[in-house]
Amino acid sequence: MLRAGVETIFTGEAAAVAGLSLLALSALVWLCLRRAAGRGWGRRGGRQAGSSPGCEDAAAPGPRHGRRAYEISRAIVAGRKSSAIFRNIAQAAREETGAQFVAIMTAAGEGGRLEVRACAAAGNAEPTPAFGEALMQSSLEERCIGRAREQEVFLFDPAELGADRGAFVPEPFAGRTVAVAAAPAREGGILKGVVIAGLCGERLPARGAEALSEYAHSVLLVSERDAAAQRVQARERELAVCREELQSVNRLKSNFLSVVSHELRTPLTSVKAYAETLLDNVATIERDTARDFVRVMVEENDRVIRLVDNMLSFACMENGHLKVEKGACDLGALIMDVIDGLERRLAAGVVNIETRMPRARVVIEADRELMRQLLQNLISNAIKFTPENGSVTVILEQEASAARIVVQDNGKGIPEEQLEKIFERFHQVDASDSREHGGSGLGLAICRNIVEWHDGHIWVENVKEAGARFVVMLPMKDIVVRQAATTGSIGSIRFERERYLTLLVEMLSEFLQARKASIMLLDPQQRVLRIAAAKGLDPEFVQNTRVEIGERIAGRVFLEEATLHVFDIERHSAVGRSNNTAYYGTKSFISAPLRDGDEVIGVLNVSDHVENREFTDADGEILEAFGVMIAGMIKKLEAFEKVTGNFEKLKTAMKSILHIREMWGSRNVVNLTIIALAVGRRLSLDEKSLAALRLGMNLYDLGMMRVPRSIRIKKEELSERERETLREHPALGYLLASPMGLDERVMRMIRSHHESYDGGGYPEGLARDEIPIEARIINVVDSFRALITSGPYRRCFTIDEAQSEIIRGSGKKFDPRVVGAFVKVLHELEVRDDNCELVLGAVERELNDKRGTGEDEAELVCAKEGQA
Amino acid sequence: MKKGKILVVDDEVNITQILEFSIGAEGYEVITAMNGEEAIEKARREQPDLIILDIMMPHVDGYEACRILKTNPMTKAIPVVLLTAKGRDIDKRLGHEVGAVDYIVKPFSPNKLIERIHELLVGSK
Repeated sequence: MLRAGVETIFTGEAAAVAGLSLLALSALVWLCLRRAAGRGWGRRGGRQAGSSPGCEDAAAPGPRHGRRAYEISRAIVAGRKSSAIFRNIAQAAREETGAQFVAIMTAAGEGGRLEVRACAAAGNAEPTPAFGEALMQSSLEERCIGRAREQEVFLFDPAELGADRGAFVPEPFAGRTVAVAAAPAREGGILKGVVIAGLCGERLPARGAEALSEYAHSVLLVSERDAAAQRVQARERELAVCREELQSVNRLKSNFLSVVSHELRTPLTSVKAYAETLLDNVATIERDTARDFVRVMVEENDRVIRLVDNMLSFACMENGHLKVEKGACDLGALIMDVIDGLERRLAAGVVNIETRMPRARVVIEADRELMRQLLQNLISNAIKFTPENGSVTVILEQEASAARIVVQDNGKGIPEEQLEKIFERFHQVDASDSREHGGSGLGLAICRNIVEWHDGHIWVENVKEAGARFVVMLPMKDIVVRQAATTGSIGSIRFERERYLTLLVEMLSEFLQARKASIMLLDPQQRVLRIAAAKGLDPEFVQNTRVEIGERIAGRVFLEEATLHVFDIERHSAVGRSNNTAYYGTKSFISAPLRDGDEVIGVLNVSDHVENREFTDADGEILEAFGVMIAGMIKKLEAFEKVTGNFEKLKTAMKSILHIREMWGSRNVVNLTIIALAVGRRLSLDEKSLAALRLGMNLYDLGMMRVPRSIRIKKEELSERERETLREHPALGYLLASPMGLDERVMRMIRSHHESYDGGGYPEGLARDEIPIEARIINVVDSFRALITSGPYRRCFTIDEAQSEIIRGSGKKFDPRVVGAFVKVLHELEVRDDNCELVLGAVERELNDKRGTGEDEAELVCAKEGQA
Repeated sequence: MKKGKILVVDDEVNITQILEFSIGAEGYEVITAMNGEEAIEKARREQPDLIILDIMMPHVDGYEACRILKTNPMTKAIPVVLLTAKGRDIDKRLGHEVGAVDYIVKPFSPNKLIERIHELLVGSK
């Protein structure tokens, strides 16, 4: 009978299409029929309908519905908050259908789960968030919403609700709800939301289905509007960043122009003045005077040449077109060469240059001409700042894996606050400096560029009462990047690729503490895997290795798209000793696929742990996460190779990753990652979201790197200002990560992991499902981490205490759904205080109790390993 | 008999040297200063007939030195020619505002500078 009722509704709808008059007629007839019938049900089903305050008769839908619908449309257009509009829709729909409750649900993100956005319930009962939870967990979800995907309005009859009505409809409505109607909001076949009504009677009132369907359409409009607004906001943020960058570039440019104009004109003035005077007086001028004049002209001419050289190479460095030819470079010989040249030019004697060199030659892989320019700039800079009869000292030393060059002058040193800035382009210690010492402010910026292009470090320090000391560290690398045989030209693009691959390998070995690490990429033409870059491997091996897909370890990992983690190669049945084991110094290794979306583009390998032990499960997790991240970066790099553009940002971001370790024991993150992923699975996140979450867990605190260490490790209560600085880290992290080409979901985790469920968090004050679900998970897990480790001004919590604290924050700081899942996961994974294996925080706590203070992570990792 | 006394101020030794030579060859007495303070001090003590003043100098720059010269009754009558590598309009305007009679942009021709000196000194007498 009820089915027939629904069909009648649809017949009514068909009539609407057919003709207005017919619609009016049938609506009228229907209204009368329903009124009569409704009362009838009320009596028959008396139990609920009569006694329940929620089961008042539905208001006549006709004109009032029109008015409400109009107001809701206006609210949408006027840009009112979606939460308020949803509330109004729920309220209106409930009144018009006379339902016990109406809930509005929308899908979070693309293909995301439905979440309750608003409820209107009978009487004045304000539905709690718990109601939404219950609604989502009831079988309503699969049975009702599932079918709502297919039909316009779906209606469950009492028989279908049957005995498990209690499980079907959440308290406190379970007992009173007779039937349930659901109207889907669909866009292009994708379910974006749904309006659910719990009915007192067996069927919808007249035009109730139409009303529900129309409100579902409003819900769709609101979510489309919000999505569009979000896109606009994102665009605006990007624009703001661009504008800021442009402005600063503009400032630098005008500064640069005025400095360069001055620097060029000064020597040119001398040349012109001397030449003209010489010409005018050529008959009468004394021989010695003439010689002096010509000498000045030559010197000043050299000055112009140096400046032009510097400017040209700087321009090349900045736009990535620098040509680099790396080869063996004997630093000692080069230093002597440069000093000879400078001494000749400086007419000797004014400043004394001392050198200290090791007996053995120090040879690094570098571009000889760039190295020459580096040394020339540093040494002539030192001479410039050294007073007459002072001395400049140049020291060359070889360290374990780096060459160290020290250039020390005898001048007045550099003001402390300028030590960092001195390497910025166009920077001069004070504006008048250029007059005192000459120079365009480019010399040191070029030095830094050269050093960084060789993956080294340069810094300056003051020597007490003895001037400034510039120190350059250049790595003597054991990283090999395979040269693509087809590339004949030596240019910036290939060099860029080399740099990034080098950095990536460095990052791999650094994070996983592996002596050997390699990145293998698929050669698309030959369908074989080749080593793109490797650390700790023989260059010839790197150059010549080819692995067929499906063959050997890498080939199989590639084919099966699954990480292979071997703890002991001898005991591993699938690998066995025959498998090129000479490659591995230790018996444990991990190979993980390089996965970009659905595509596997290569394989990552690590082996030979620096402590000669096995790689742990946690290491496997990290490598897998890196597989996703590095694949993304390589893709980005490929795109970059096509359009050689501004790579500065990419470079900075990649370097910054290397420093994450400074703050995080990587294991710590990983163990929490296991928890976070388990929570995600419990909340039925799809595989894509889980992959993003895994990566997000490794990166979410990226911005903390930019928070001064003094604040990060401070034990006392932070001042208001310091707290503010600390609160900037999610936004900073977002900026740092923006050039990495990460999944938008990961980006939002970085930015939004400190947002509170109730809207009281930062940086944007988002609330509820405005916060991505992954960020809500990270928020809980990160808070848990903070609680079980020692805080700035409080002791560590036990696991139980921490758990209670998290539960206390449910509905306030945390999403109740996430908290629920989290608590279950803690139980499931047996995270207890006596279970250090899983939660590193427990180890840290032990350490803290013993020592009384928090120590750095390195020790924690050691302690952890000692236990393992 | 010298034609007049000229103070040349520039922190580039090469410039003061060549101006000392070429202006001196025309029969003027040339004195030099290396920075703004020294220029103000020498202008007061030596009372030159004309000052050739570079703008970009450490500490007290040419604009500042010119302004100080023009506020001191002992030196305010001495004509000042600014000599500078800055060639933008705004710099010229600034030069006139601080009371300079002329503005010569580097690189300049010593002969043209000398011509200008002649004009200024004849005109002022």
